[in-house]
Amino acid sequence: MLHISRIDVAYGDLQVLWDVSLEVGPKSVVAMVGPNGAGKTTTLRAVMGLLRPAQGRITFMGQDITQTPTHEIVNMGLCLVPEWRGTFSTLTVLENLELGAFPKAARAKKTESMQRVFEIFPILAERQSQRAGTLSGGQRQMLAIGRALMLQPKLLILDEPSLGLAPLIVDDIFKVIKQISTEGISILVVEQNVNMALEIAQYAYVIETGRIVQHDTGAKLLTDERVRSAYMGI
Amino acid sequence: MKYGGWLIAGVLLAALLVTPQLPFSNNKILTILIQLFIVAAMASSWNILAGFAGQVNLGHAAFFGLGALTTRLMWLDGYPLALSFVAGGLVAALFALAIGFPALRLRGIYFAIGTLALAEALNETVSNILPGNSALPGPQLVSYELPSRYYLALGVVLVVVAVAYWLTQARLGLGMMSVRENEAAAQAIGINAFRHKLWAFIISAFLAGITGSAFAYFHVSYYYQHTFTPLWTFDAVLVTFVGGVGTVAGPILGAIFFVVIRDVLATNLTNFHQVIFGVLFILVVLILPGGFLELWDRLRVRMTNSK
Repeated sequence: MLHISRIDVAYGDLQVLWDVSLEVGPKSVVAMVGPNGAGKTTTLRAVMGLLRPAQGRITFMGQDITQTPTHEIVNMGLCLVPEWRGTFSTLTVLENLELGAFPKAARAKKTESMQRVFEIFPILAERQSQRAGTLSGGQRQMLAIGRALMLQPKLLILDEPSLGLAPLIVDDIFKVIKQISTEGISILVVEQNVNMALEIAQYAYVIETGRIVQHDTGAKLLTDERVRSAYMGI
Repeated sequence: MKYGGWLIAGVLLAALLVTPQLPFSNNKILTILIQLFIVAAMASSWNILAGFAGQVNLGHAAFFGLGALTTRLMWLDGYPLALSFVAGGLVAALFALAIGFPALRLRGIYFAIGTLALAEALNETVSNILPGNSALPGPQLVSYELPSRYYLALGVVLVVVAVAYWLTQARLGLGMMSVRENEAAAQAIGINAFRHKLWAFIISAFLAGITGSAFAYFHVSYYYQHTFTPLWTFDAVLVTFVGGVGTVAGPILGAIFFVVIRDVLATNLTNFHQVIFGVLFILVVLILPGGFLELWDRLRVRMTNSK
């Protein structure tokens, strides 16, 4: 459903992505792994229209979105949970979730989506009138994912969902990601926590210094010599 | 808003409505209240763009000036007051729409500097084209009375506060606040950040415009340029911060404080109120970023905790 084909992306004169191609099919979990500064977040920014590729094409559900404004891309059912989470700290949990259902298509299904989010994250229901800024890191990540789910997206993109979280919380988050994917939402997850990401991913891409250097099923990459030595220290 | 809040607002409004009819009411009281309404409306309208949508506009005086200028010229030219009044707001709103497209592409401090520069350019232009002062001609002077000015200014401040309150309840306002909190995150969840900023700008400008209209109707004689001076912007900024930025009641509270202090001090020490307000502003920014309203919140929390 998402096709990134051969994009080059540059910040001004500084090129950071070369010939990156990636594909996410319907009802699948795809991971993109790689070290810091490899271009993972940049790829996602290009997909969301926050950056424009110099070369190449990005399509979503068969439609070219290479030049589409971000809010329209989101309207089409593609939603990003950024690595800095971007929850609105002075607004309440409830207001944050309501904002998630801002686009027209999502508005009609607001109550239904909210109920579902509260089922997945009961803690958010408990804390709905609390300001987002007073939540813990893990709760804030749940709120960010919950807010994205309010949109009832077709494809959910998660940028470093494990960043800065305690290992136990990371387990919880990945369980939820798995659960969401079984409900028919495709997921593209970008991670430095390679082990976790490859375990839940059907297919994965390894990106290094702006280039895709390897791609295969998650299971195969988990046992791959090179990946193991480079990313898991084994 | 809680029951108590509505009650206080209702009593206050009733008192303000009957004030001109009361036996002890005099021109001095009405004049101070009109000034209070104008300062409160300026602060509250500035707060819609800065406090709700997070865009610090340092050229707010331009909209006040445009509203005042339009209304004054049309009204003295013989157009009905109501028409001149609405036109003042519309001209200000149209100006915001026109400069909003380029200016709102600027972020943070650059938007502040950009709007300040635009307002100053307008200020200079007006002082060159209309260097003189505008005095009411004979017929208007003969029929001049304060209560109608009072009610117009009161009406303006009520409209501004009503719009601000409505925004805190409406989707449009919630969208604005998400842009204030984190523009990139707002965009990432499908909120059109630019459109929300532009709406906030236009609404804020329209309200500043009709505040200017009320000023133009109120004053017997003033220099055209006076309404364009940056002081109108900075008073609104100070008042808003001291009262509580991003809230509905904050700018009103700040305005009451500002006008009272100004009036008390102006009779004794000219312009000393600015020093006091400057010091107060610094103190608020340093120790009470939420303004007086935060003080109130803290007191309330302390009281409920000690029970």
